[in-house]
Amino acid sequence: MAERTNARGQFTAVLRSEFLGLVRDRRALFSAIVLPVLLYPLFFFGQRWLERVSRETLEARQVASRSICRARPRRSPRRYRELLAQEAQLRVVDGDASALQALEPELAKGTLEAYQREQAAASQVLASGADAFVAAIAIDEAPGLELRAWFDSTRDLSNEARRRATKALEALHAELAHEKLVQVLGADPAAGLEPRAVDVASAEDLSGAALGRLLPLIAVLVLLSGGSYAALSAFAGEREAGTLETLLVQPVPARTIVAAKFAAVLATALSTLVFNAASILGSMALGLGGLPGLGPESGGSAIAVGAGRLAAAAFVFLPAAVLLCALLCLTCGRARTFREGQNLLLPLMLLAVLPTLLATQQDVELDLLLAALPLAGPALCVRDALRGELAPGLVAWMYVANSAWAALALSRVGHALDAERVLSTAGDENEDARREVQSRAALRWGVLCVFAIYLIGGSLQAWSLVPGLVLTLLVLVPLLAWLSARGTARRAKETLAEAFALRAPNPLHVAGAVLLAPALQQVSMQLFAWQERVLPMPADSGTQGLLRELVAMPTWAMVVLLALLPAIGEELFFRGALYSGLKRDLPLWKCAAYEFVLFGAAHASIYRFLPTGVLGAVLTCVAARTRSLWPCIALHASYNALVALSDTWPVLARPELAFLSIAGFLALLARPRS
Amino acid sequence: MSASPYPPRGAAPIAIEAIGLEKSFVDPKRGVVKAVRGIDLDCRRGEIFGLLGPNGAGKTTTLRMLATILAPSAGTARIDGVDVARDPLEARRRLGFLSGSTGLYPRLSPRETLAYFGKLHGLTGDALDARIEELVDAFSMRDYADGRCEALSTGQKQKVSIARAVLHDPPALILDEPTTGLDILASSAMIDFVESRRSAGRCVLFSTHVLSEAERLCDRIGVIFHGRVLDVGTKDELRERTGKTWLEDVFKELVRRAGEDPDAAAARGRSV
Repeated sequence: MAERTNARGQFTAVLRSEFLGLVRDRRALFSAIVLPVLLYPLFFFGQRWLERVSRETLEARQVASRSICRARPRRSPRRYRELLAQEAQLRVVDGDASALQALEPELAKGTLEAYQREQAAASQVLASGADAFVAAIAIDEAPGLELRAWFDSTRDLSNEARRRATKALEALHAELAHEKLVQVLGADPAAGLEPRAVDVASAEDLSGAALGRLLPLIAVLVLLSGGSYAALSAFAGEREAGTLETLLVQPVPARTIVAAKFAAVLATALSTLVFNAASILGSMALGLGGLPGLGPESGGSAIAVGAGRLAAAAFVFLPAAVLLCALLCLTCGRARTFREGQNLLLPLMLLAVLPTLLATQQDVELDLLLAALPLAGPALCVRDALRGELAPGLVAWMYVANSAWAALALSRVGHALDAERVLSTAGDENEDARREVQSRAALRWGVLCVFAIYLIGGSLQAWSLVPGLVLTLLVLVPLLAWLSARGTARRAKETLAEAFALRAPNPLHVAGAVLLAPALQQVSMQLFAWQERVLPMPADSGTQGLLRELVAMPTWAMVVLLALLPAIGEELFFRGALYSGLKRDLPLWKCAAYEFVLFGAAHASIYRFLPTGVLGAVLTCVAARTRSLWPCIALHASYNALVALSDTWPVLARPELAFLSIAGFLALLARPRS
Repeated sequence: MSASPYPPRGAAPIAIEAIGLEKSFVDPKRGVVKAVRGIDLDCRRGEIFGLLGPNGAGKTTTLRMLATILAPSAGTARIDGVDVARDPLEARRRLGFLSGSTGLYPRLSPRETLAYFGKLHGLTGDALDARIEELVDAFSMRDYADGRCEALSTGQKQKVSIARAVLHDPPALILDEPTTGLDILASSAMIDFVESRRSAGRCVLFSTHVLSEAERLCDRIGVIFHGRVLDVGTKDELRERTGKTWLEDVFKELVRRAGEDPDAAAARGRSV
């Protein structure tokens, strides 16, 4: 009992010191509370005020317009002048426009010369005191009128004069068209052809739908920016200030410290969110700002979403808030300094925004898969909650799945202050620096190779497909691989063959790699299918065309061009030269991540990025496990062959084949040759 | 100066004890790194024990294991009889720890800092307030006890750190290079403080690579190199065994006997 009281006291002490630190930090206070409270009203108000002022100033200004309107029907010019006169502050000046009138026959020809002379003549007219100049020209050959407005787009007044003159012309046009329709139909067309639109959505539905598109994204961004300062100060700041070691020798379990720090981060992030949301909703309720997509007729600026929907949205967003704060703590726990923490937070923000963006897509429906995705599920639930279309079953599933994600992240946060990792002093700085240089050089070659494949490989293949493909895969890519591996080998003082990992493999590994191909093919088919829902492939993309051309070839040629050559060329570079450089400094997961991005990018198609990226990451793991390039070449070749041949022999795409991969996986567990 | 009345061996109870302490890190790039390769030492109450060695010898890692921050790969460490691996929280209650790189929370005042760590040690209410007042007086911090720590001078910060380390009056005090980065006045205040702990019958284990400090303060010295203790004894015992007068030569001689060339070690950037 006393232990528990003590633990509670310790928790409160840590929490209190975190809050004291934050409250006394002017920057934190300003960005979490003062800024949002002031920002939104100022932003909305300022925007409206600016719009109004500029509109009023322009409307108050006199603009002069010259017009000629000498066309049939005779009545039109007079009516146009009347309409122009109705536009307030628009003075119609009758002046000398003879130069333009003289041009009329030539304008009909529409040549470049005529256009240039027209511009010169018009600028003379505009220089003589008019702001814009509108003319209707009757062209003999063509039926009807040609209308022209001359203006100077760099002058506000000229733009305004043009707007008013054009508006008058539009009104004239509408009048004439209406008259004509009445003639043809024999009745008022407005009564017969225009349906009266009746929107069945309530004001709350409309405003909820508009808010639902924006709020999840805003919530994630605000939560991250509000919590990031607290997380940086609680974790990275503690290490930077040199207080962490002291904290860890206090008679307090590390998990109590971490729990209190996490609570501080969560509370700060949530209060920032609450202040921001209150400020946004308050500004809208006061009529200061409106939501995009809501016209004035639907109650535009006023927000009509009820408290019930807002509460539901807050409830479904909770697991995302916990997950995001846990991720903030995890990220900042890795950083040694504030600055390092800030650098780590940027990628986290980008990663967090991506799944949330799904909620801005109106046609993405919440389903079992999306509900289980971290952040995407809660974001879509917030959207649906604001629309008033929450499906209880899916929400429950989202809650279960996302709570599991949050719990997973929280369990990792428990190790954020693991002294073994945080304070470990093993290391030799020179050696570390050398390794970093090697990895960076490999990465630079990787990026260069991707661009070379785009630019040089692309133009070679555009020149002639088959020779281009052969040259790219057998000359260009191996050449880059050789250049890159030569540097790595020189720096690491090893042979070129070692840098390419061209050592004799365990034969079991080669067999295992080949057997892994069917499962990979199934995975990539699933990825294609999934991607098709989010990012549908256009019916006729460039790559598709290329594939069609290759598929028309004899089978053996197809296997050579699509399976064998890419396997050799790409593996030499990606799992040979690139991976051998990357692994000097980076852990396997980072190497695999870089390989994912670069290998995916090298295939030059956003639609193939995901499957090829996954293939690249898997091949990297195979290279790491087998310590040889040959199993990678075997897997790559058999995967490509399966994909290429499954059109001809559909049996190759049967899901049952994937079971072979279990044997393949087991074979890969065998020890590599020493 | 060096004629300190250290207690006869075996008279006072052992406050800090290491038996066959080892620490290996697993570095993903370099494999297993052995930072500490079997260290035995014992420090008694009323004794100042100095751990002397060059940078990278394993001093900090040893002290961190004794202070329960790092878990030993092998061996046993006890603080005031409590096994650090079995009951780290109890060991921490009997332990004060301070290192040269220790910082303070910039936005808390010294008084708040002391209150924070007092609460972590389970002190509350009047007992906590009384102890804080006592420390504020003992370290003459009254003038700046309520200002923010970020505004303090190095010497003032040092006092707050020391006060924080002895807040719970621990029987064992571990100091990792406590004078690093201090000017002459501040480091002499630190030396006075260490001596005052000995007079109060507490045990102080501290590491240093400053020979004069070790010479002046320590009742016994352990020379540590490449993760091993080369020899332990009083200054006179060490001088006698090596036949050298100056502590610097004693150190070099011990390293030489261990089969290492001290100059080569220095050339590798590990100066004594």
